Formats: sequence, C-alpha cells, structure tokens
Amino acid sequence: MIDLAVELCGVRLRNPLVLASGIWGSNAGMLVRAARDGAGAVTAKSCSLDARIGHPNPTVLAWEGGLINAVGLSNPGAAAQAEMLMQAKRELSEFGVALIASVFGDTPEGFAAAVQHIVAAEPDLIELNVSCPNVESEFGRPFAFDPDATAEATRGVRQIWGGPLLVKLSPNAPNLVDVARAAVDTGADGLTAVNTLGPGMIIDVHAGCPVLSNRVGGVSGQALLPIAVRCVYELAAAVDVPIIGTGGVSRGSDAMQMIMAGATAVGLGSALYREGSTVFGRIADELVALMEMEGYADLSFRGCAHRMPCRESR
Amino acid sequence: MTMVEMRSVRPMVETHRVYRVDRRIPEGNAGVTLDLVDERAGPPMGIQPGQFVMVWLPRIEERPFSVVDVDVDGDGRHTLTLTIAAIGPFTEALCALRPGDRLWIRGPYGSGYTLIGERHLLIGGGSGTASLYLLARSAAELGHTLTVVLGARSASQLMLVERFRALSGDGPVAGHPQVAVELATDDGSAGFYGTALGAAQAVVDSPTFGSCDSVYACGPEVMLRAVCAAAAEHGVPCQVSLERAMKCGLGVCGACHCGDRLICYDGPVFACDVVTALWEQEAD
Ligand SMILES: Cc1cc2nc3c(=O)[nH]c(=O)nc-3n(C[C@H](O)[C@H](O)[C@H](O)COP(=O)(O)OP(=O)(O)OC[C@H]3O[C@@H](n4cnc5c(N)ncnc54)[C@H](O)[C@@H]3O)c2cc1C
Ligand SMILES: Cc1cc2nc3c(=O)[nH]c(=O)nc-3n(C[C@H](O)[C@H](O)[C@H](O)COP(=O)(O)O)c2cc1C
Ligand code: FES
Repeated sequence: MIDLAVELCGVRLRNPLVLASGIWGSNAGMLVRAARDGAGAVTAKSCSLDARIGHPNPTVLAWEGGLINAVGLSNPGAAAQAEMLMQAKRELSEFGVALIASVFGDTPEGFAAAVQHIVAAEPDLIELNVSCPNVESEFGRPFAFDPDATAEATRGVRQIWGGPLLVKLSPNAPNLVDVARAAVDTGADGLTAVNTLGPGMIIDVHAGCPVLSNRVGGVSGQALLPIAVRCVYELAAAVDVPIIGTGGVSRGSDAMQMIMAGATAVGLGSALYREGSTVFGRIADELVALMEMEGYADLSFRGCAHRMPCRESR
Repeated sequence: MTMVEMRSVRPMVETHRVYRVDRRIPEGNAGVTLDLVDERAGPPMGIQPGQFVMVWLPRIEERPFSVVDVDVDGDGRHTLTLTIAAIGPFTEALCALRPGDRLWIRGPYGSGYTLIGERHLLIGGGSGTASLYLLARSAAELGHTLTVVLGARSASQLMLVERFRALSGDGPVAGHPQVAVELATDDGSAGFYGTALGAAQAVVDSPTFGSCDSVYACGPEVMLRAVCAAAAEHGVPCQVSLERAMKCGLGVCGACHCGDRLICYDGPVFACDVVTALWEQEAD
C-alpha cells in the first residue's frame, strides 16, 4: 500500500495535493467539495483588511498554455473572510483536511491587520500572498520582488500568529532565493512557490485591444510548469523549510516532478478548469501508479533530483 | 505513460468568436432580441437548451447570456439569437447595438435542461424567458405538448411572446405541435393579473400542473422557490436555471458559487431537489 501522507510545517496531510489560493474562492461549500474529492489541504482565496470588488470582466481567459487572470483580488474583507473560514474549518475537520488561509496587504501593516482577523478562524496554516502580479498598477511592485519588503511583512505577521506560516513567492523575482531567505529568517515556516507568472497580455486581433479589462494578468497552467519546477528546485537547494510546489501541475508526473525538485506538497489551481475537483483523485491515482512503476512506497524520494547521479538505474 | 495519464475533458482553448448583429428586434420596452451571425462561418456552436455564452464588448464588459436560439443555414453559416433585458450599463450597451455592429462571444458553458416525458410546463419570469425558448423549440420538434407561462412587470416588459407562440403555428417547427402560451403581468396589463410568482402558483394549482410530466423554470429566485416547492408537493420532476454574478464563466474563480456548486460549471440548470439543498446550504 502506497503512503501519500506528508507533514507540512507540522500539519499532517493525507496526501500532498493542495487546492491553490484563488481557485473556487473561500466559501465553505466549495472548499469542502475540494476536500471531499480528495485534496490533502485547501487554500482559501487571498483576503485583505478591506473588501475589494476586483477588476471588471473579462477577468480570466483560457489559452493554449493554460489560463491568464486578473481577477484583482476580489474578497469580502478580512472580518467577513474570517466568518467564512470559521465555517469552512468546522466542516473541513470532518474530512481531516487542513485549511490554509491566504492574506495580502498593500503595506506590511496591512498584512498584519488582516491576519489579526483571520486568526479567529483558527486556520491550520496562514499563507502570505506577497506575490500577486495583477494589482501592480494599484499597489506597485509586489513585495515578493524585494527581500526587505518581504521580511517586513513576514516579521509583522509573525508577531501576531504563532501557527504555521507560509510565504508565497513570485516566479518573476530575479532574486528568488534572497527573497525566500528573507522570509525564512523573519519567521516563515514554509514557502509556496509559485504565484502566477508575468503579468502577460492577450490581444484580440479582431477587437485590436487586450482582452482582460486590466489589460495584463498572471499566467498559470501548463506554460508555468517548467518555471515553477525550477523555482522549487532552486529554493529547496537554498533553504531548509517545506515548500508547496505550485504552477502548471495537471498530471501525476507533474506532481512527481515537483516532489523530486524538493516540494513537500503540490498546489493545484488551473488544473481545476478542465475537470473540477475530480482532478485531485485523478492526479493522486496517477502519482500512485508512477510510484508503483518506480518502486517507491512513500514520498521519501523528495528532492532526489538534487542528488548526483539523480537515481540509480535499475 | 499514456496508461496512467488521462487527458482532459474540456476543450483546450476557449477564445472569443466574432459575431455581427444581423437583425435587431425590440422586445417591448424591456430590451431587444439580437440575431447574430458568425463572421467567419465557423462550425456552429453545439448548444444544449439552457446553456449560456459569455458576451464581450471590447473595452466595456463581459457578461453571461442564455442562448435563445441557434440556426444553421445552407452555407453552414450559423445564427445565434440572444434576448437582452436592459437593466444596467452593459445590457443597455447591448440593446444599443445596430445591425452590422460586432460583438465577441465565448462558450457555450454550463449544463442545460433535460427533457423528461412528453408534456411540459415552462415558466419564465422576466429575462429568464430567454433560457427556455430553445428547450421549447426542441420539445416542439419532438411533437411534445407544452404549456409556456411568461411573466413580466407589465405587457410592455414581456419578452419573446410571439416567438413562443409561433412554435404552435407556421413557425420554425413543421407540423402543429401543441404549444399553449399564457401570460402574466404584475399590473394586469396582459394575461393573468399578478406577479410571476402568483402566475406560477395559479398554473401550479391548475389541472395543467398535475397532468404534466415535468416542469422547467427560469426567473427571479423567489419564483423559482415557489415552483420548486409546488413541484415537490405534486411529485413532478422540475428543473430550474439559477443566475449569479459571474467572472470567469469557466468554473475557476468561484464567483458564481451557490452552496457547493458553481452556477457556470455545474449549472445553471439544476434539478429542484439539488437546488433546494443548495438554498439550504446558503441559508446556513
Ligand atoms: C447563466 C445566466 C444567463 C443569463 N441570461 C440572460 C439573458 O438571456 N438575457 C438577459 O437579459 N440577461 C441574462 N442574464 C443576466 C445578465 O447577465 C445581467 O442582466 C447582466 O449581467 C446585467 O449587466 P448590466 O451591466 O446591464 O447591469 P448591472 O449594473 O450589472 O446590474 C443592474 C442591476 O441589476 C441587478 N442585477 C444584475 N444581474 C441581475 C439579474 N440577472 N437579475 C436581476 N437583477 C440583476 C444588479 O444587482 C444591479 O442592481 C443571465 C445571467 C446568467 C448568470
Ligand atoms: C483565477 C485565479 C485566481 C487566483 N487568485 C489567487 C489569489 O487570490 N491568491 C494567490 O496567492 N494566488 C492566486 N492565484 C494563483 C494560484 O494560486 C497559483 O499560484 C497559480 O495559478 C499557479 O498554479 P496553477 O498553474 O496550478 O494555476 C490565482 C490563480 C488563478 C488562475
Ligand atoms: S464565474 Fe463561475 S467559477 Fe468563475
């Protein structure tokens, strides 16, 4: 019997597959559905202290390489979010599935102020979204481009939240490892890598204008996979904390790549576009089949891609 | 690796297709019905009654609309029909379109109605009427018996009445299927004097209801709740179409959730027992 269980920052997950933030929102019903269909943990949509409507439509498009989105971090505000997460947490605990709350702010104080509300919901982990590329025009460069800014946000939250803390990084940061070190040094227990890439743009040639109302949006899905795998690989080599490897995973072999690069858990976002939350069961099955094929009984092959030679040929 | 790696269920790309307004038919002072021609004469959309499309006006907005009708001509060119009730900035912009104007459409999305039996009762309130026409046409083409109740605030707000009526005459369907169209208005200016809810109840209480095989409804949620309750009471299968504000239309963002379902992906059409459970979840 193959064992998919993992421990993420002290939290036990029945399998490594995690619903990524922003997919399916924060409503208890949707998060529980992902849990019922096989997620090991679920991440709620990022919330800020104050409510945000987000950008007008079009906000999400499907293209050959995956999705591009500029939802614009719409959320009901941290107080209302905490209420939703309380209900979600209650229902999720029946499934033994962990709840990850996601928080963002426009200033380090903004992060802490939002977390102050979210703490009431007692999520299993809190993830700091310092890396959204869709609100740059509004908020300026993401925190995740700057080790000092990331450190400041992490430090502020660390003072008010004693539970497991993740910091979600950007694949665009040229100094990814420096940003990660800054997060870990100021109290992050783990990292989520990565948020969407870009921003990118899709122009409708008949309309002669960008399709997204925000003009630009974050690129996710298949196109992101090799970049995300490389980010996870670099991070795993540099810092000694668990990583949720997220970006472009849509098959068991994609998840296995993430784990071999050093990820403890694997995030799924755009993959739900194709098939809803049944994707969790499918990817778990594919992962198990691959592990059987390769003779692995559990996920202890994590990080094997860092060893030279990678693995013995049998 | 093909053994363990199944491929996806959804098409890979869902880009917009460009359509041009071919005909603009005013619907009283409620809005318009637009016949749209696919500019590139691409393959017709395969549309199930009750499905919807996302309509984009560049630099303005993108919103969901039911597909009222789809027709393919001899050249393989297809016409898509939408009916728009003007209730705000985007629907007003659509109503202002003139023949020759372009608009951008992706879809179809969601799951539609399933015909059950051969005697059907369709109940449409306001722009919800739009969601029912293709279903009525499909049923009429199969020679089924239909009662269609269309409700609105007043006579001038009723939509698609002639189109539904034509199903029983020399309209698009050969033969003479039995299609009875009944009207209801809040102010009594046409048909039954009362709200869509009241009209639905009047029909529900009439012998028609007990003798029909299945009920289908789209309109204000208060009306849908009453229809569902009555259908459950009479033991008649019932499907309703829900509306929620949408962003992606792709089942990704979660904006359109109702309980543990997404209106754009699992719906918009649900069986009444499902929807009743969803309403209970929402009330919790
Ligand atoms: C699956 C689906 C199918 C639809 N099919 C059709 C259709 O065939 N024809 C059609 O005319 N409309 C249809 N709609 C509704 C249509 O999408 C909205 O009317 C439209 O988005 C309103 O945009 P607006 O900018 O004109 O108004 P907004 O400014 O967005 O809305 C104006 C006011 O109306 C309220 N409102 C918004 N949507 C609705 C609604 N659906 N019902 C009642 N009040 C609302 C808003 O809260 C606001 O107060 C459908 C909606 C869904 C989800
Ligand atoms: C529609 C959409 C909304 C998203 N919203 C958020 C968000 O609110 N917070 C966040 O940290 N990431 C958000 N993301 C990023 C995802 O969590 C994930 O990091 C990214 O999409 C890459 O993974 P994927 O390729 O599996 O989708 C969003 C992604 C999409 C597609
Ligand atoms: S609009 Fe339905 S999930 Fe985005």
